[in-house]
Formats: sequence, C-alpha cells, structure tokens
Amino acid sequence: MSAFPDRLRLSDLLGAEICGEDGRHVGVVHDVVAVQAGPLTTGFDAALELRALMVGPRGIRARLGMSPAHARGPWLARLLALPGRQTDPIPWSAVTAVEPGRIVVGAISR
Amino acid sequence: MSDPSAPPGRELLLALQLLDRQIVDRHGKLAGKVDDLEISLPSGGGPPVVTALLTGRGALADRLGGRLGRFAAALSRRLVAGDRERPGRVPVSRIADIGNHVTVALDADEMPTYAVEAAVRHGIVEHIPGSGVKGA
Repeated sequence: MSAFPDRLRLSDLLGAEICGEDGRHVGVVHDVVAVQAGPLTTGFDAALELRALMVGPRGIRARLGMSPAHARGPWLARLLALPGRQTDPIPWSAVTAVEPGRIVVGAISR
Repeated sequence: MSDPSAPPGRELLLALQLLDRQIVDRHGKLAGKVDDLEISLPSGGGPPVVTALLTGRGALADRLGGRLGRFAAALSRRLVAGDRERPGRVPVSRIADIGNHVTVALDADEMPTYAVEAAVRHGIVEHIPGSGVKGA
C-alpha cells in the first residue's frame, strides 16, 4: 500500500504535524511552496508543482498569518514576525508518508 | 499582476497567495472564493501537482471543521443540495491569472458557486421590496 494518497487537499497539509521516521516532532506545516512549472493555461502537466512544506512551531502567530513564512508587507508585519524560531522549508522529496494530520519525513538534504 | 505567459519558475506560497482569494470571472464579475485546493499525486512518482481550486461552502465546511464547519455544511445543504458532497471545482488549466485575486477563464454563471448565489438571489433577495432584483 502506498504511503501517499492519490489525492488530497491543501487543508489536509496545513497544520499537519511533521515527524521524523523515528517519531521525532519537527513542527507543523504553516504553508506549502509551489512552483509554476509552465504557463497555467497549458493544462495539468504544466501546472503548479509542490516543492516544499514551510514548517515551524505551532503558535498563535502562525494562525494569524504572522509566521516568518508569511512575513511580507509593511515593516510592522515583518517586525511582528521577526522574533522567535524560524520557519524552515522542508523539500517535498524528503516526505516519505502522508497520513491524516501527520506527515513523515526522512533525511533532509538542504 | 502576473502573466500566464510569463517564464516558468514563479514560486507561490499556496496558503498565503491562493487560499481565501477572490475568484473573478473573465468579465471581472466576482465568482466566489478559493476555499481549498485539490492536489494530485502522480502514481509514477514525482512532485504533487495542484489540479483544481475548490470553492463553495462545501469545501469551506470541510476546511473549518468542528462546530463552525458543521454549521457551514448545514447551511450549504439547505441552500444547494449536494454542495458539501461535491464542492465546486475549477481546474487549474482554467486559471488565467493569479494576483491580488484569481482570474479564471470562465463566466461567473458557469462557476459552481453561482448555484449558491442564484439560490440566495431567488430564495431571499428577490422577495425584499426595493431590492432591484427582478420579481421583488
């Protein structure tokens, strides 16, 4: 049985817990990075490909859209996102399984 | 504003730059919000691909969860039968532009969310005197 579902929703990924294969807690998904692999109008194959999960600590700032991953805009928004632990990208290639509410990652090479 | 013919490689943060964005049809008419995204994982491996925008109360109810989600689902079922089971789906290939809002190469009345708007318009708004809607 595959460790990946055929289809999922963005909401299945957002807020999911990221764990290492040894069960170690890594963080939660704050956002998902996608890259436009080609013009959108050319259809499925040239659509938006997922490249990375933005992962950080669970917290009120993330729920309010003020995590470092979202720190764009006026200086005050960037200032509010500055202190505290950072949000790191985890490449999709490191994901080894997607389960309800939980994503398992293997070794991460950056 | 982005251009669909722009060179590939543009990076997007999906939650920040797509979720809850206004969908606008080809004529500039408001046509719902992006409530969720459908992601497909190719069976032969490779990175997952965003295949559709999901719109409508059904998609939103699933995303909200809890009491609020159940309330949204109940409201959705009363307005349009089947809305929760089949959230509106707009294939990514119909996206014309992603900017402050998402422009789709469709007419608003072709959009799945139009069914909810039509139900509200015919069931409630047109019965309000002075609403300006035909039948009021």
